[in-house]
Amino acid sequence: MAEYDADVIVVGSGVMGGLTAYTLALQGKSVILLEAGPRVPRWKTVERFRNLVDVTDYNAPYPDLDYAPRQGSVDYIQHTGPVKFGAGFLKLVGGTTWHWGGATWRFLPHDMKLKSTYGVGRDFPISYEELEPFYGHAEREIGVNGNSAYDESGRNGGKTFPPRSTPYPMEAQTFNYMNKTMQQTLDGASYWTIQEPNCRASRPYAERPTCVGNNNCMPICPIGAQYSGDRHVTRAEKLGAKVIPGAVVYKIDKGPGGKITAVHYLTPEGETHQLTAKAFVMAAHALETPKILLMSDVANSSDQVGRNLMDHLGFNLIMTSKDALWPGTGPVQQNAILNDRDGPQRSHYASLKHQVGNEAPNVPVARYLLGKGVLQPQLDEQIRHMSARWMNFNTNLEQLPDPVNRIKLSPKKDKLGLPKPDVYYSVGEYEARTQAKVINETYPAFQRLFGGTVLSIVSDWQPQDHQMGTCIMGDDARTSVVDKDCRSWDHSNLFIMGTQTLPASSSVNPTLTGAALTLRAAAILAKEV
Amino acid sequence: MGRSMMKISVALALVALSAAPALAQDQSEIVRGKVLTTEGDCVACHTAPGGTPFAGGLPFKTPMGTIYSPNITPDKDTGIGTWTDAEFLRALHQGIGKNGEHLYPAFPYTSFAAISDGDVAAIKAYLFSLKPVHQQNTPNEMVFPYNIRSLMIGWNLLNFHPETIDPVTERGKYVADALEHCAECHSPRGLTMGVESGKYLAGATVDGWTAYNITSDPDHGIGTWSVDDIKTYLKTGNLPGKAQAAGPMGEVIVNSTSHMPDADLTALAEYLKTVHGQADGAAGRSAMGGPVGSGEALTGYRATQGKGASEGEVLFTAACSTCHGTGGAGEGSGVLPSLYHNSVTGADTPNNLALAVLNGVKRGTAFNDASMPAFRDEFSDEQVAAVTDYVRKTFGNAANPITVQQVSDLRNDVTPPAAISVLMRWAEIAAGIVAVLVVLAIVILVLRRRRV
Repeated sequence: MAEYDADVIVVGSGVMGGLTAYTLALQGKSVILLEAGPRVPRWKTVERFRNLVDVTDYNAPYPDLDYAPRQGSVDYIQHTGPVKFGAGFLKLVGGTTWHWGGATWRFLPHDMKLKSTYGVGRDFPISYEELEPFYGHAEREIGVNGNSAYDESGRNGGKTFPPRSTPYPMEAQTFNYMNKTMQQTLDGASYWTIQEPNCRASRPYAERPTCVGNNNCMPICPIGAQYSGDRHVTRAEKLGAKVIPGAVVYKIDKGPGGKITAVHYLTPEGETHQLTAKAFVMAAHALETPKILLMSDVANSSDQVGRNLMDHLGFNLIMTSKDALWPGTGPVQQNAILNDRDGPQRSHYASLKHQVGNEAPNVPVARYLLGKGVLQPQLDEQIRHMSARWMNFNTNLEQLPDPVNRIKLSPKKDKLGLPKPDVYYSVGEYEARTQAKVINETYPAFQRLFGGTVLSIVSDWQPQDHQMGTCIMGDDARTSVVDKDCRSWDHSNLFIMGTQTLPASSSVNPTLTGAALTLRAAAILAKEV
Repeated sequence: MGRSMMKISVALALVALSAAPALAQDQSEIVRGKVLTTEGDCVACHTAPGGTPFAGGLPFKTPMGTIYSPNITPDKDTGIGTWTDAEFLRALHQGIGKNGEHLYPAFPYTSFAAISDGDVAAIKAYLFSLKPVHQQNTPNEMVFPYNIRSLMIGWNLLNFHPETIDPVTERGKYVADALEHCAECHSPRGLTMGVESGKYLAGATVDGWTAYNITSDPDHGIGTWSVDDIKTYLKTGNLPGKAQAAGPMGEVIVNSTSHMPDADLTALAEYLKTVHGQADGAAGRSAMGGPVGSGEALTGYRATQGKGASEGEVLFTAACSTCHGTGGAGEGSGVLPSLYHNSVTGADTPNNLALAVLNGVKRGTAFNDASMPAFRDEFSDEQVAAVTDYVRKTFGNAANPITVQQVSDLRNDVTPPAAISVLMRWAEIAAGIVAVLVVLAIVILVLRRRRV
């Protein structure tokens, strides 16, 4: 009998777990990938989506199981703070990137040195320069399209920034009519509008066909042109990795010398299993990873496990433009307005990313009109009129890490008898101040530029499903959970992969940064087992 | 500059001047050779997946063992850098290697024998202009007796009948037969595995793919295609409302015919229009079927649930209709093709459609970048069979429904380039020859014993 069940056991089969398993399997390591949820093929999700009553519920096509509850599962998360935390996560092989906008940004050097540059938040224990090659690696693995000449900071005089040693692996997709028109108007008013880098194939890439603009990136890309985490899981399997769906990890064993020795999991039927390995990787999302660590009293000598929960704080301006812009052709999100992404104001105001959504708006338009009591024969005509002019300015705001925002174990238990997550979530003065400034200054400017009629300004914080910080990275074992290699300070053979390690949230989507840190850490781990 | 240095410089300049015309001539020979090499599609077989072009190493798996294409870059140790012009010509014209060994007809010398001496020289000039790649040839792994190359003498006697084609006055035939070696795949083979006489380009099965009837027969061949239609297909792989290429033919288009000089393409197309018509295969394969239903958009209505839809329809609706349309119309330009008026669904064999489902389509040319995802990881054999049959029945030709076993066989064959089939055919006949020899030997032995 082999000494271990595998060289490495990876908990979680999303994009981070998949990249880790793939990297290790490529080096000839034996890997077992444990996934709480089931395996569902793409076509099945498309089928479920098309048979939905409410097609705007992005979670509805995905399994919500009593042993593997997902985002929106009734009474799973116990909200105890002043703000409801809308944790976005799916539980199935491939993870939450089955439904996402596919935005794959790099952080800016200042995003990673927020404390030392602007005196707020925390610093990454790694510099942009040190992570840069892994950003490139992650872009090639995930298959990202973008414009390598863009200034993504809005602060570099239009020249490429942040610096990149390798170009985007695919050229940027072309802008649709709405984005082209909008960009001209915004640029004319000195707004810095660019194409958002994203993981839709702008040409055939690896297994993926070219995006043909189904405008269905969420809840499911029906043709697989957009990257999803199952891609690397499948590749890892072809290299020999073993995937076990329906494996709900509930306990991690510590052995002599602080080494982790085993993980235990429950099957949907409640059977228990134990697996041993030389090293362990927790890649079970920013919510479940700390929950499992807390349940096992592992990696928490700093008392930071589960704390510093961050998301991008979202709010938006919905209006109709004077001229028809025809949103809804092509991918669901394409642009970003970056004037306030970086700059000295960050000492007092949070970093911001504004974006005009490109979802086909006929459903929200119809809801709005029905809510106003508009009926036939006017209804159809007004749906057409408004759908062509609908503008949804969505703002993402950087949240600072705050230890009070945290995940704890609730006394309430799920079907398998495991504690449900208790989430305390609040928003600080820094963030609230920034939102007020946007609503008072920026939104009226957008309205004037497009001759808009404001329909609503939604200032309630909207979850962006970008949870970060709950296994925070740092350079001090007393104040952080992992070091810059994603290695637990407490257990040398335990790695934590994913956006839960990010110590600062920036205002851009965090997956690529999580992936770059993961690929870097996986390469280190591969040398040790 | 000293006097002697000056002398040397002048001398060097003179040498350079006198060499210039020769260099220019070499250069034009290389340019011509590049065109011919592309038309012969040498790169397809002489490149390993992800490997350096022309450095060889592509495996051809057969029940008789595995053969690997050799390195044909001009590396002196591992490539053909030490081959003389005569040796190179002998290989292409007679199927004999540098050391006098017989080559396997995976290498289509049976066709290349008709390439003119001058064109062979140009091909060699081009190959010798490439950067030498030091990459050892992988030794073939043929099992006894197929590792005996001299068996090829027997095969050649039966099957190798080189013809002479005038590269100028018979340009279209020359491009089709000598360079592009179309008949290697598109002509059926007889008992001796030579091209069946009178069935030239009437269609055949190659590595699981049907290479269709491309004779001028209006019903069974491509007689209804205009010269421009044929040219469009060979240039882009996409002839909307008739045919789109995938698999080995897609490779031929990507590597070879999409780069062909227009004059040669025209000559080839005009020649195919003159090829004697054959009534083999399905009648009207590129005109079968028509739009189905209203093609109503799927969003907002119950697509399949509770309708008693078959598994094939459910899979089609979920996995295929996004690009091909619920009514099968595609998007018009043919890059996302219609499923009716499509030779793959209209053919009387289901295999090309099943292979496209299993392996997807990647056909990138300067004209379009067609890409269909592969469903081999997502669909079981049963599901591939169900969706294949549903699509053929609904939009094309319902004849010969596919079996699950057929799908399994298609799935498990590593999809090799077209040339493998030639080797397979040879291997089969070699086995036949051996069998005949063994029987003869036994008969002789028995007769001798009786005499004793």
